Amino acid sequence: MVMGSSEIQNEEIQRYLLGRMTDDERANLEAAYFDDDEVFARIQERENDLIDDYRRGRLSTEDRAQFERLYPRHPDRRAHMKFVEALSESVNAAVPAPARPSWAERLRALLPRFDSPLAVAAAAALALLAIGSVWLLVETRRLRQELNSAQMARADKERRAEEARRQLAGQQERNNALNAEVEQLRAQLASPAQNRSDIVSLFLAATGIRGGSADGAPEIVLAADARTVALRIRIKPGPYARYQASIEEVGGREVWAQRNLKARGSIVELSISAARLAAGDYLVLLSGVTAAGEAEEIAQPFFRVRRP
Amino acid sequence: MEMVSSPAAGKNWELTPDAFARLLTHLDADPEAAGEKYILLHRKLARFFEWNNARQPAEELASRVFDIVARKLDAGEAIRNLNAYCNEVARLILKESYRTPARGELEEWERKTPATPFREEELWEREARLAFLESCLGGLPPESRELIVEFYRGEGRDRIDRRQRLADRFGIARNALGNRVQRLLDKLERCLTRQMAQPARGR
Repeated sequence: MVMGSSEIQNEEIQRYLLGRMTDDERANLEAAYFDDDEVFARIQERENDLIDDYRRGRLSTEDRAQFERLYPRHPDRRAHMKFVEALSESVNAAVPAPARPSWAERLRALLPRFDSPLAVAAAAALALLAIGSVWLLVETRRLRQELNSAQMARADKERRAEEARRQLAGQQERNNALNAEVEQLRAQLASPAQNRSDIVSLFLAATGIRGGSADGAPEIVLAADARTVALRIRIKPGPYARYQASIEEVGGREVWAQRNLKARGSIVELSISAARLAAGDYLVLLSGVTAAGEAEEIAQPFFRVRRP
Repeated sequence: MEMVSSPAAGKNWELTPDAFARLLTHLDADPEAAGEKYILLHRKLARFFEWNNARQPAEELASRVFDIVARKLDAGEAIRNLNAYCNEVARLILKESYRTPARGELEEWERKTPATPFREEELWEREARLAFLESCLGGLPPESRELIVEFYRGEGRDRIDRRQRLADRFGIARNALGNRVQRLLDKLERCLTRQMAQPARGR
């Protein structure tokens, strides 16, 4: 038997959203909201209020901690959280306009007071004629003004949205550039120090253009006792089941190649015998292999090997 | 409960316009009502995956459920309760999603993101989101906009009372009001997502 909307308490919904239900409880509630649109709406409403309560610091310490374990860390939950936060901010920032008295109320306030019923009727008839003409003029003007201001407000909103979109795109570009710099710095930090262990690691960002300069390329210093070089290349997730890579000297001679590589998250790791790498500049050619077996080049980072 | 086979079965099958039309007809004979039901069921599925912390994008998984259901209908299988059936298929796909490696984005997220609502570099994004949201709100009819504003204004007890008064004003049950508001919010969120994903013009 599926639960109805009125049988479900807000506390239960909150336990569901915060991942505190047993499997059975969870399955029952899920069956209920697939069956009943009102139950689904209630859960969404409660979730929005939960996010707003978090934003306003109204959650208990335990709920807050659990919320932070789930919402900011899951891409979809995080996106929804941001929507609700923006909604709450926008709605509560809007100051309602003071209620305007109607035209009839305003005119009534202007009319003089008459005691005789006949005088009242005559005055009312005259007033109605006058009011009718004036009202038409006033109303036409008001509507025109409203139309103008609505058009201006709309144009202003569109301008602001476009401006925000441009700023967002610019900011994203700057973020990408910063991320690339951070990766490069990491690689530089990792590489210059002589590593005397058997395995030497180097982190490479998936950048680099074939034929470009190797100047400023990340360096790796191989001591005589180094046996293996682990090159970790950060890639953008793509539709590839496998990857293949080769390493060439800048002159074009291939020194190492491997097929059937797997990515771990956004990292493809190459493991090369250090003996194959003399001092010099190298180019890594990394390709993704599609389901149809076609290889597509996705990165060509440089690196430099120094031998003390 | 109807038997649901593994989501992996029949992987080569592709959703055709005919199969999709059959799915819509199964939801409702009236095309407009069917479209609305489809959107709502898709939303339920996506939220199901999201609330269960699926390790793949919720929207994609929701679409996979429909692919499977459409294939069943295409093969002439009788499905009596489509909502419940979708729930069962979604449960299987969720289990499968836990077994597949997490998407790189999520791993990155878990590794890098501190559990705070806003990182400093997101301030521009936040400003943009607010501007887009206002633009989306501006695209709704005035009465819908007013309903959303009234529903989400205030906090705590004040908000609860305000919602009840709103339901009384419309002469509908409190839950029906929530349902109406939620449908508007779904539209609003879709609009915002579209706007955020749209590249800037004229750069």
